[in-house]
Amino acid sequence: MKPAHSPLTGLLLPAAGFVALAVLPLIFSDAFFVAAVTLALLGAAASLAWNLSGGYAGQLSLGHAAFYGIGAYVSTILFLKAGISPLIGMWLGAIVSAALAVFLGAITMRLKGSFFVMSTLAFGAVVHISAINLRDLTGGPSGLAIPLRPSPENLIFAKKLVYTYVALVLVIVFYAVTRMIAVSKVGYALVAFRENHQAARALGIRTLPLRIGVFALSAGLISICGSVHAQYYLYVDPDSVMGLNLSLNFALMAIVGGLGTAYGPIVGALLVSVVSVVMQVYLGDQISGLTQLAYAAIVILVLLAAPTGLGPSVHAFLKRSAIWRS
Amino acid sequence: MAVLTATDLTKRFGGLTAVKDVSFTARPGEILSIIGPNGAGKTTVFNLLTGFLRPDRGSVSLDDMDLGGVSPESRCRAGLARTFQIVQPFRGLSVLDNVVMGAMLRARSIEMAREIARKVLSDLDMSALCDVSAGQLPIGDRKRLEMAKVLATSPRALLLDEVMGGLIPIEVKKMIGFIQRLRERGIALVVIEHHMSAVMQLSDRILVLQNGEPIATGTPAEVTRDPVVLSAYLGANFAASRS
Ligand SMILES: Nc1ncnc2c1ncn2[C@@H]1O[C@H](COP(=O)(O)OP(=O)(O)O)[C@@H](O)[C@H]1O
Ligand SMILES: [Mg+2]
Repeated sequence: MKPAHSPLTGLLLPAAGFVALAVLPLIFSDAFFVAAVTLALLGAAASLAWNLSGGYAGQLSLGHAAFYGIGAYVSTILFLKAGISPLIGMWLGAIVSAALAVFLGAITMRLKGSFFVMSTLAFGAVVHISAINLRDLTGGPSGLAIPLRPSPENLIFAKKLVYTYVALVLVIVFYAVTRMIAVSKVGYALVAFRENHQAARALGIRTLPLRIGVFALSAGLISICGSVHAQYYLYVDPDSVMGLNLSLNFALMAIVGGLGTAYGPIVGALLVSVVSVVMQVYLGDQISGLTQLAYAAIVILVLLAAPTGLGPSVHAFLKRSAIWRS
Repeated sequence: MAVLTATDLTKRFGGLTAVKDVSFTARPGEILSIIGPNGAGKTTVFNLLTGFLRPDRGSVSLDDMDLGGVSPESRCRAGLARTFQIVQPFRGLSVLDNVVMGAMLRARSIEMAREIARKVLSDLDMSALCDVSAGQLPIGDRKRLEMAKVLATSPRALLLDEVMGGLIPIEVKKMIGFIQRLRERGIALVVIEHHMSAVMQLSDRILVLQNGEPIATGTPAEVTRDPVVLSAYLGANFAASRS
């Protein structure tokens, strides 16, 4: 955590990065590329949301797919059964997710380290199984399909490129939210708890309500990503919006890019996406499991080379070089 | 006008009575030292005072407020702060950010907290270390950082647990001067210290613990004349060093 950002790292660099992300899909307008960028950005947004609680507060959650899935299902069900626009539905999903997070957090936030992680795993599994079994509501394992009726009000677009920018907006907003929290008393208090909870208590820092609050915010924001996911695919099923691998991915992207930093999840999501695209192209789906294996190997290599995540390591390297200082 | 009052504090760990019937008051602008051999229960007393441990018997009050059942963080907010004998820095953060964590308590914004933190660090001659990562400090500086963090919370009663342990003589001298200035500010100080000459210079009163029990209490002169103390704790060495 830096006390103050230099103008370069604080504003110019992120701005340049976002402009590049906005322009790239216009230059390489190939459908495969656009889809890859869109999913990378949606992943980045979700991981940014995850990172608020998992990174800054150090509350490692492996259950966030539940909130993502709730977002996807709530907006979809409201749209299909009540004709409510997903633009409204996604907020209702976010409220449901945040409320559940407050409930879960109030019970589990007193648990230490691995016990908290286990409780989030259990929560994720319970919600996942519920989605499979509540057939009347969720369509069960086969899921729900959303009819293609393009209109901005339905958050359905014939041109897939529009979703790229929807996702980019989420990334920029979530990034800004993260930065705002990071430099606030709330952000400092969360970091204090994460770094040394005994010292934090001795300094009068009351973290429980803050940790529950940021967990709820994190759940609400990732829930919005889930709603966008549903509108992008026009399809929701339990495994693809609530699976454990999704939770692992949210965490992984933040960890690879730099846990508890604002840019970490973005760097991580882009890297993870590049790796998975390259592997899809070169390895295809011919040998099942090989993609995952290579993927895992790359993650391990990155973390061995840069234990604090890619972003901070590169940052530290640049800081050491004289060019950066002048 | 007493600030901090401990009454009959008692704490058992299984079969071991670590603290037994300890009572004292700490008044504004006064220094009370707690001395006693290792394992006498001094740190445990601090844990009972600050709410990190619950006493089996006895009570703690700050001014007229009974602190029974009050959390450590709320006690700090009420003005009762402590350092840890085993220092507890936020390792990954800069020295300045470490102190900001304490300063937040009395500041509305991070900017304000940073101002308070800079002031505290300059009082402790630590301004040059602001940007150093706390994990990289040598022990002497870590002890001072531990002080800086709690001072930034503007305590009315401050408990210092061996803040001179591991310091070199010149650092000890500075620390003594610094603690004297804290007394002048009207803070009620309770000091655990092994450094005898520091204890003698600083203390208004001394409480001697042995095996968790208070065996003597009084001014430095009274305590050092007390035969029980001389035989039990200070021993021949100290008697010799005074002549
Ligand atoms: N949390 C604890 N659990 C069990 N025993 C403890 C605990 N804390 C302290 N003790 C024991 O209580 C006694 C007093 O310890 P302590 O208060 O740390 O002594 P001092 O600070 O005077 O050296 C020691 O015998 C110590 O081993
Ligand atoms: Mg001790």
